[in-house]
Formats: sequence, C-alpha cells, structure tokens
Amino acid sequence: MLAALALATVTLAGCGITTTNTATVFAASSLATVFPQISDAAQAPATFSFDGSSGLVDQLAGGAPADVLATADRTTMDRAVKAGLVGTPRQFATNRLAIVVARGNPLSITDLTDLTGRKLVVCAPEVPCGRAAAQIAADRSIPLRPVSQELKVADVVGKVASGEADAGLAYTTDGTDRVSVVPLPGAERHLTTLWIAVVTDSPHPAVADAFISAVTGTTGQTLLRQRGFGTGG
Amino acid sequence: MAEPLVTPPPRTAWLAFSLAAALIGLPLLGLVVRAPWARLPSLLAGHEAQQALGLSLGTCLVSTAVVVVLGVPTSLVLARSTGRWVQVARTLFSLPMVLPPVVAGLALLATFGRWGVVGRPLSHAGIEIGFTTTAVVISQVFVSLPFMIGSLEAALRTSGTHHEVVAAGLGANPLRVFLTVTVPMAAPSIGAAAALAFARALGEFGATLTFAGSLPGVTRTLPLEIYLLRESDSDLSLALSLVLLVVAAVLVVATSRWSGNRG
Repeated sequence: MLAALALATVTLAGCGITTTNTATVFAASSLATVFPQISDAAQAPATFSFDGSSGLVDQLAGGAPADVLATADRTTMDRAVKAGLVGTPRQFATNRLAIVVARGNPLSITDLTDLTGRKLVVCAPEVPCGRAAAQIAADRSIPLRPVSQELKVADVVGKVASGEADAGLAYTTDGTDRVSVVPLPGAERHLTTLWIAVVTDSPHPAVADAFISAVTGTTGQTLLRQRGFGTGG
Repeated sequence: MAEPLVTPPPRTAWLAFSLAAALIGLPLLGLVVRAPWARLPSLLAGHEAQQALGLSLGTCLVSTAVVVVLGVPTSLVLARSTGRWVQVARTLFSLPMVLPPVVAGLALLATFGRWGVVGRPLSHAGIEIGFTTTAVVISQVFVSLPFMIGSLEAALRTSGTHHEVVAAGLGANPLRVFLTVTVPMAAPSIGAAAALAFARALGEFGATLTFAGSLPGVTRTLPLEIYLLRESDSDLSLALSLVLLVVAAVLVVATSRWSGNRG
C-alpha cells in the first residue's frame, strides 16, 4: 500500500513538471483568448491558468508553481510585488470598462442612465473590475444599484450571457457570441492597466522572459490591439 | 454485557489511520492556528461579518425547515415501498450529493432562471427568483435535501415497522400512525439528519454563486463572503472560516449524539 501511495505521489507530482521550453503563465481571465494566440504566433510555448487576478496572486502566495504572472490591474500586481512573489512588473496593455448586454442590445442600453428598472450586475469593489466601476460611477455621480456584485468579471459576463441580468459592467474585451459590448461613457478616464512579471520562484526564468517579450513585442501588441486592448503604440 | 471479541486491526491499518488523520486534521489545525484570535471579537462584530452571518443563519434555518417538511415524508415513502421505482427514486434523490455544485447551479438556472422552464412563466407573472434570497434558499434545499433523505431512510428501514403495525391494528389511519408513531420514534434520527442538512446548506457555495449572485445582505452568504475577502481582508476571511468550522463541528457532534453513535 505504501508503494502505491508513493507511486501516486510521484505520478501526481509529475503532472506539475512541464518541459523546460514551456512557460506556465498565470493570467487574468480577460486574457484567455489573446494569450494563447500570442503564444502560437510568437512561438513562445506556454500553458495557461486563467482566473481572477486576485485568485491568481493567492495561488502564487500559496506556492503554486508558475513562471509568469499577468494581472488585470495595478493594485493586484502591487500586492504580488509587495509579497515578494514576482520581479519588476511591466505594463503591457490597458483596458477599459464597458457595458455588456445581450447580443444585439435588445433593450437599447447605451449608458448607465438607461439602467433604471433593469437588472445590473457588477464586480464586487474588492476585485479590479469592481474598483474601476465604483470609480466611474462616483466620477459621474450616478449611483449604481446592482442586483449582484460578482466575485470576478467572468461571472458578470456569465450572468448577462444566461439572460439572468439585463446588463453588466465588464471590459471592452469581453464580447462573445452571446453578449455585445457597449462603450461606457467616462470609462476612458479610468483605464485599467495590465501588468506582467516573472515569478520570483520561476523554475524557468529564461522561458518566462521569452513569453513576456512576446507579449510586449510587436506580435503581442498587434494581437492585443485586435482584441480591443489599448497599447502604447 | 460481555465485551464482544475483537481481533486487532493489522498495523498497516493503523498506518493508514495516521495518514488519514493527518490529511484531514492538519489543514483544519492550520486554519485554527492562522486564525486572528486576538481580533476575533471585533472582526466578527463588524457590519460585513454580521450581515453575512445573519443571512447564512436565516437562509439555513428556512431551508432546513423545508428539508424537514419535504424530507421526512419522502424518506418514509422510500423506506416502506418496494419495487424498481424505489431504486430509481433513491438514485434521483442522491444525485445532488455527487453533482458538482456549479452544475447544480446551472441546473437551477435552467429551471428557475428568467429563461428557465419554470422561471419564464413566473417571470411573465412578475415573479423573478434570480438574485433574490429565495434563490439562495432553493440552492440550499437542492443540495441538502438528499442528506436528510439518505440518512433518515436508512434509519426508518432499520427501526422496523412493529409499532406502526400495532397502531394501525388499533384503528389509527396512516396519517395518524405517521404523526403519532413514526415521527416521534424517529425524532432523534430526524434531528441528526436535519443537523447534517443544515451543515451542508451552510457550506453551500457553487450553486448559490451561479444561481443567486452575490449581493451583501441579500445573497452573499458566509462562504461567498469568505471567498471574496480571502485576500483583501484575509483576517476577516479566516475569522469567518473559523466560525463555519466550529458550527460544522458542533453539528457533527450533535448528529452522532442524536443517532446514538456513542463510541
């Protein structure tokens, strides 16, 4: 039985080991489409774990093995830096909040003022998308009355996609075949910045650097722009 | 009563026992050690904590009441019936126990959501369940009812039907037999099963998040609050986790007392 246990442990541990030319990338959910594209196009092999930024930093703090961390805002990256989890971060794109609505916008929602009597879902103020939403609402003195403050942006999009909510505050880049994205007036003054850094305990720092170069290089920046992110160029 | 003869378990069994105890015990101990004991009272007295605690307690009391009202008669029907359909029904009632909670949430959404089979006509009538406290209770009932039915049916089967038969022989109708014989005799088992269901409802996370949303005071129960706060206010998150751990421990002890499993 002991032998079986030992074998199981070795086998399980083996699953965590990736070949040395592949970077393990922990990235914010909003990057789930574009990062694999960049990886392919720039031939920078990577395996991805997409989740809410805060959750990813948690996992790193808990000792999860990764080479690269990419977050959806500065605050979350700062927390990782302060905890000594990552090296010096680089900003690689910007994003802005938008209103997500059912595909084709059947309720003709074009601004926060069209949401009276509608079911709005936002992110909780504790997560990046919620921080930005609170700032924009305060900026424009429009009180938000959401029916739910979701724990991550993917849940906001999910509630709109399933038709449970009429509108959600998510990112410009969150459009899918189920939801349309409407520009949110005032969002341009509260851009969120996306940051990328090498994980301090990265087993393959060279591979990590290669992936980051791909993201910050021409190929990455072009693909990010195509997906709707803002870039320096 | 003479001590029953027992052969000692093999040493390897004790090794497995130690490993199992460490696997379950150490993480729980870790939580207890990490908990911010000094600040515990002030943390738990805070508005956010009180709101989540109150909502969890209230919804779990309601859902457990529903589970008792539905689960006790259902368990009796299963325990006293024979035939292929009983096995089918038993499988149906145990499914939510093994279903991933997020799947339960999607199933509830597909049924009671705005565009769901039941939800759409309700929505036309002006009743919407999504994002309400009712949705939280429905999620809790969905995941905890199987615990009531599973444990109570087994208890009713083993307790036998002798007293029920006698009562019926004396002229009591089935409803009277149920209320005056079956339920009082099974009261400890019902209590134990209800405690188990309450504990399961208290920990409900996935289905609530998927189906009910997360609004403070309305749908954000303790587990959702803990998940949200785990990094922005990890002390409060740990304090609330400790509360859940203590309540769960109390409920498990109560369960084994009531079902008579004294060691």
